[in-house]
Amino acid sequence: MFRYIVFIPLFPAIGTFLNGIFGHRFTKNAVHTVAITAIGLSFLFSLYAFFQLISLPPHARVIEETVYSWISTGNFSVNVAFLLDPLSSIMLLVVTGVGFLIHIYSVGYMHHDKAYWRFFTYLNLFVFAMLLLVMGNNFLMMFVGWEGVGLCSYLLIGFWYEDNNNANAGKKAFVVNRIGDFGFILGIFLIFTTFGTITYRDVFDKATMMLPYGGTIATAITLLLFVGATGKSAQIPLYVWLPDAMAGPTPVSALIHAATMVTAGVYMIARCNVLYSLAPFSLGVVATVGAITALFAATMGLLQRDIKKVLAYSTISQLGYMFLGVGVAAYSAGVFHLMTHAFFKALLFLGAGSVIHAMGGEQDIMKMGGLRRYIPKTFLTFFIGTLAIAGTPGLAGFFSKDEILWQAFSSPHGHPVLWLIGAVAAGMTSFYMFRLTFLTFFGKERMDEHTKHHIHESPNSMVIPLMILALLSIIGGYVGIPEALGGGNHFHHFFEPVIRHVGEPKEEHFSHALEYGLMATSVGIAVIGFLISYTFYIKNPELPERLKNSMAGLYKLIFNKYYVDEIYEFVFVNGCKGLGTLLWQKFDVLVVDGIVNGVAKVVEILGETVRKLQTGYVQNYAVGILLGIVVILGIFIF
Amino acid sequence: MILTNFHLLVGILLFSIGVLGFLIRRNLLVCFMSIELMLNSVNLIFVTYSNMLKSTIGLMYVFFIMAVAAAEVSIGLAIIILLFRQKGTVDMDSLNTLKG
Amino acid sequence: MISTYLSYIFGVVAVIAAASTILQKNPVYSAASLIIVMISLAVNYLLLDAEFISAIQIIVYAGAVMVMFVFVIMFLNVGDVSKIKPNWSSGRIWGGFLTVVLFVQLFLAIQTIKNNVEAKDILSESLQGLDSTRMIGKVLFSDFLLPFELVSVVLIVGIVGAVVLGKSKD
Repeated sequence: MFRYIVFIPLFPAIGTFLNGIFGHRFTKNAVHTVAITAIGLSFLFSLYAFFQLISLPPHARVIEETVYSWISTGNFSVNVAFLLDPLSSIMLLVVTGVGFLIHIYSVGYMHHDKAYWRFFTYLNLFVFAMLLLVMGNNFLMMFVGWEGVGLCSYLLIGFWYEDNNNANAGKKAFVVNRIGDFGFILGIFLIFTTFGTITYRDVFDKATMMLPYGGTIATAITLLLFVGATGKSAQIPLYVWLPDAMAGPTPVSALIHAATMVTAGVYMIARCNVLYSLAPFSLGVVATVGAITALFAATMGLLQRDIKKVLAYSTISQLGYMFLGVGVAAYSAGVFHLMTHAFFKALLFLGAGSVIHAMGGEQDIMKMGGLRRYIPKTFLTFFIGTLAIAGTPGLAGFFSKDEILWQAFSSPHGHPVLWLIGAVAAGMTSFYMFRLTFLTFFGKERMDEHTKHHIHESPNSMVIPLMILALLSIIGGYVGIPEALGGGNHFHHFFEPVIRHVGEPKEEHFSHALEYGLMATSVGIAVIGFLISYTFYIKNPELPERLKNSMAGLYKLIFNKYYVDEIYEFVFVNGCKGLGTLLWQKFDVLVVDGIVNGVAKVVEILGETVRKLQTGYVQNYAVGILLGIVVILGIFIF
Repeated sequence: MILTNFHLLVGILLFSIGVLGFLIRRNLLVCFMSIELMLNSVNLIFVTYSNMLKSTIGLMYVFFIMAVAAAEVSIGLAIIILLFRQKGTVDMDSLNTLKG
Repeated sequence: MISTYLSYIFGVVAVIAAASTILQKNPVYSAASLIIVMISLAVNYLLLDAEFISAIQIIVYAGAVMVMFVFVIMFLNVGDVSKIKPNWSSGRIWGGFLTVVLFVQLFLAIQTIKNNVEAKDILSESLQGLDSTRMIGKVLFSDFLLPFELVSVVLIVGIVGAVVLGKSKD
């Protein structure tokens, strides 16, 4: 009776096909109707599946539907099959729901673009790949989706490919992703050689029986898979593609680089929670990398001037939070933050797109200011998004972020230092997000007259999704109110069946008082961030300039993103180029060509030598025959 | 060594002499005659065995060898005549145009 | 007894004549020596109970083949000249050496002959007690009919080939 979930990825696939083949001949109306219908139907089906899933008792909420048997050789078989359980249904709703809103937004945003049909084709293709990723019931399906979203990311970042910078950004994204994918696929190979199967259910069942707690194989597998996650989800050291990816159209940034693709790494870890729970070392690595990334990216977001770049670093930082969450084995908290982040980050990106649209393409916040009078709806929704991401109590971001910070402190895999890093990063998040809002919508108007005349509110197709997302940012957190505040934490209970508990150290029970204390501390830090930001940009606007001049060196370091890109360029890119040149000149020209030419030379010399046997005299040939006869006779006689 | 069968010894002796003649001499005709000598020696050995084993197959072989040898000689001599017409001599050392 | 001595004598004659064949400078003398070899062999065949073979040896080999040889020698007029001497190049020395080795090997080979073996072929069953001509006649036209016909084809090919090769260009 769940057979219809097979259609959920199918609709976007059909949309891709229709728009891809015939789109250039459709009218703009036809193109976006096809695309939006496709994803709209997927969303409805996902919604229906969700409600049908809840009607089942908790232990029965695992549905697998096989489409066909893909590989079947000997003992190894992989099917194209879809899995519906709490985790995948949450991901389905997020992907199709937020995706649907972004499709609608794109109708307005991309209205003047001449490659309208190509955009919607790629968008649908992306949704299809992402759905394969979250719905697959084995690692191979996940990997197919993984690669598919990487491809679509490349296609969409470099959408306006006539500009070389955009094409290069797309290329950079794909190459860095690929490096992560290398680790990922090694992880899958290791899983296969260890368990002989790559279907989730079989692997996880066998893992509890076969792998010792903290053993090397589990650690190796999980670390390799995490390498893939750092690439896809932009953690240290493979985050460098995400800021550059802002070269793509804003709906792309919202969909792919905020709400869905970059969360694939978090989804993967949550899905493989058994393996990670069996490898506490890997969990530690994940949590540490997540925390450090959160802090590191937050520092870089403090000083950026491009509105989308600030949001990009914010995304990296929030992804760090998600990894911190799953890294302390708080899988449901990480996925909860994934969901709320999708709401408010998509909102912020779409709002930024609306601002850019109003400003006629300008993205530098230093050239904006005081926009709240001109584009009030955009301002309102954007402000709600800022409040949410800063962790204002009562909005979505508060509950999810707080859950992660609490788990970072109290979980058996957690550590107070991790909590501290997370809290400081939260403070910085609050600061730079309010800085962004203040510089864009408040204060002195710094744009020129020509632009000022053209500022206009965005069309409804762009504003309505903003409002819906704002609403979700407000109420989206209420499904996960922790018990300390009197809620039932429905999210955690819904998610619980996905987590398998494996011999982990016992949880200590902390008092609620401690939880309140930490909650208050994080809210306090957020408020401090807000106050500092208010001081810098509203009350004393000359303060930032003085601070910058007094710490010029540090400012330059952070503003240039710690020169990480330059270091990578120097070490890896030039290193590879140098290696390539060396191999070409030394190895290919000398050795390979040498061998090939050498073989020819040997044949030539051999020919010259053997040629001397042909004397032309029959008697010499007869001597040869006689020699052979004598030898053979000799063998027979002796 | 006691000669177990004298005819066999004669046969192999004739064969060796034939081989030697073929390899040593420069005159094409003498060379060809050495080939005939070899064939005859083989005939002798066949007949010897036919007698020793009381079998007829040996004699049949001899019969066919002789017939074929006759045909071969006729063709061979025709070729030698042609060669003489071309080269003007029957010296084997002049036949080296197939030198590689 | 006499047959043994005769076989010894004619064997020796054959060997000496063969040596003479290859060692004579004048090819006509070589041909003559070869004829002597063939006649000695014919005698040996008689002593080995192969009368038919002996007869056709003289008729075909000594009578036809050698006559052709002599004819060609005379035709090409190399009889009196014969300035062709062997030159001892490395090929020839190797040839001589290998011939000696060959002879030694063959000699060792015939040491291992068993004297009293009788061949068990179907031909010897029905042919006990017949003389060789009758034996050959019986076998030739029954079991060896196909090779017989093929030999006739070979002879025709020989004739045609000889005629074609012998034609002068018109």
